[in-house]
Amino acid sequence: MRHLEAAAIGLVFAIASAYMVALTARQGAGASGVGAQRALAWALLNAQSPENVTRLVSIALNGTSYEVHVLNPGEPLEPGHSVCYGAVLVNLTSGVEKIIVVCAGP
Amino acid sequence: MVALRRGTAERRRGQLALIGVIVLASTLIALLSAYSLQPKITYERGHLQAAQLVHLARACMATGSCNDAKLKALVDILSWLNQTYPTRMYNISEKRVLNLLLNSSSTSVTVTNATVFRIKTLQTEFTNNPEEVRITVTTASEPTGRRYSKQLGDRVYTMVEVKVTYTHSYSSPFFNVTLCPSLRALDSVADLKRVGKCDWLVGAPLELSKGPLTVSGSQVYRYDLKDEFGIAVPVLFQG
Repeated sequence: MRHLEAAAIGLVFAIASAYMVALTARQGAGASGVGAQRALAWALLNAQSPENVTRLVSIALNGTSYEVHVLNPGEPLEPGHSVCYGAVLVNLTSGVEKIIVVCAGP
Repeated sequence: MVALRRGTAERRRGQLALIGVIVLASTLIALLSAYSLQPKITYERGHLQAAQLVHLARACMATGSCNDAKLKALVDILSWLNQTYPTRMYNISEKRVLNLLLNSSSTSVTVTNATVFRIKTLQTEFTNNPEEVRITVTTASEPTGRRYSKQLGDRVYTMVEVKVTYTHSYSSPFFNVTLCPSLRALDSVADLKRVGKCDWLVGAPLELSKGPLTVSGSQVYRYDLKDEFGIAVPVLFQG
């Protein structure tokens, strides 16, 4: 009988652990996006060119997993990201317009 | 014997209760894990939108002749792209270019270029007062009194040494930032040395300067540098 109890408790413990891991994985994918917004703002204040913004955003995010996209006006933003922040970079002298988008989320 | 049987029966009931609790707990966890999560996402607005306006103002200044029409054209581009991309821009109720010349004395001249945006933030919904994003670029030129000659090839230039203090100030409801951008000369003649965070010692070639121009009743020469954002930096001095 004791073996049966131990086996039952062990089984339930294993199932519960598996469920908890699944739950945590699903919730952990969420992101506030606050970091991305401020990182992009900081990069924009210091930016001279689109390449410069991308590099500055990477520095500001410091290893946090966000995706940084550099798009031309009219180019579609790939779907699949729930939290995105964008900025428009303009150089009237060279006529260059770029969109910088930082995305995060599940 | 009766007591032993009773004890065994109680233990068995306890074990059944324990198994019941375990089964109930695992059922609840199983139901919870099957529940589809609907995360609520809030977008933070403020810093990025103000920085975006700072960038537009700087882009306008970099053309060398920023005026209200150019600024409006830039804001229109932003509004158009705001429909497609997640810039989440505020409604801009007013945009103005202010070119001011301040503090012209016998020793120094300060040139101030400012651009002002008035935006409708969440706070505006309650106060009905649009908030302001102001971009101010200030160049203060103060000749040190030193002049020297510089020979490049077979040309000799008269260099006028000027102490230049150059700052960008950005004020908004979300941040107040002062930058000291780098300066560069447009030719290989001028001498440029950073002597402080925002202070520069500039050797301006008199022969390559524009002028004399009349500024606040004084005759001055103008020699242009550029900052790291491509904005012209006027160094003013008396000939």
